[in-house]
Amino acid sequence: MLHSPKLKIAPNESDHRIGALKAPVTIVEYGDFESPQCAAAAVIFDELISTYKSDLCFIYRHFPLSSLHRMAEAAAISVEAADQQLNFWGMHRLLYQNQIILSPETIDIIAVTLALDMETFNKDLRRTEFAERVQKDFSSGVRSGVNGTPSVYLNGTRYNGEITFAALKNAIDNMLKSTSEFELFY
Amino acid sequence: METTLLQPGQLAPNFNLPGTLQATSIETHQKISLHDFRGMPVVLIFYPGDWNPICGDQLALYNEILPTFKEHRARLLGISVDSVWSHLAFSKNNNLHYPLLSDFEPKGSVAKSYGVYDPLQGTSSRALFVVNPQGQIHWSCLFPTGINPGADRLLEALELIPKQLCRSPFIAETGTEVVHAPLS
Repeated sequence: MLHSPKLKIAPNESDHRIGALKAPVTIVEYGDFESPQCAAAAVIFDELISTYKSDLCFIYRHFPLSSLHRMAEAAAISVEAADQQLNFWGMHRLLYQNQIILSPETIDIIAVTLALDMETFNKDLRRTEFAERVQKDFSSGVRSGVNGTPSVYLNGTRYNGEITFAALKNAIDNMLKSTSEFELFY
Repeated sequence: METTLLQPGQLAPNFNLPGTLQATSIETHQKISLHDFRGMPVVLIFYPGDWNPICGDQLALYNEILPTFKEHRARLLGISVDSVWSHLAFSKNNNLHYPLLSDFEPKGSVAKSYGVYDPLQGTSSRALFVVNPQGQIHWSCLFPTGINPGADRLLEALELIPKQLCRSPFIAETGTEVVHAPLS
């Protein structure tokens, strides 16, 4: 039987998210900024967010495979630093869009493009709590059965299907259908 | 041949396979035996093959959490039917810091002894074993070839081995220091 592990840490206020925690469907992605599969998935998640609007909450957690991807952890820390200037999702989007040229210089250029205060940004990059935050996400992913990047959890259970718009839409539609049937019943 | 997954409580069959123990040197035929690790938990990772993307993801994940395995004083050994030369290239490409053993000749004999050989594919199945410090199977699980099993259940199994049963992680039964050099 296929193993479908559950999230060990439920979606919460400290997560980076688009949408409300109370949305009927929550996607949690464990991602790595240097993973080509995550870059491809980022486009699909954007499309799902546009499609489902308030029915969907999208959460991003870090899962950098640092021994395989030299820049993955630095990129993860840089989005945390950008978050201090309320630009987590801007940095997130541009890192994935520029993945093939990812380097410390690329991170700098993205930060300038986002009009971040560079002095604050560079200071924040060295803050140990961001590295700890990344590590905490990583550990929660390991314990939750993350088995590669991206690993996707739909309403708390690992999704083992294809990461395509059609396959995820089908899974989300089924969840929304069962939610509305549940509401009708009660 | 009978291929039933070995179960908890059974003795883990010993093996002596060439592996990537000293991947930085030209000497690639260094043999590694399960008995080298008596006194510490051993995680045996049987996988279908080098360069299979799912195997790459699975082995990279374990590589990333080596410090967690070390906390449990556990050693990791990857096993497939690939040649040592393939293992060397694959290990270097993925920057792996634990040995990959070559169950190449007679092909799949160790996988067969653990009940995880897939005769249709001519490879090992995807399976995990935790061998306790006394050399018995503590936990085993067979997984679908197309699914990366992750590390959650493996870590849960390791946590159930009492730490006092484990010796220092780098000292084998003979008292000889066992060093698995990382790849350059």
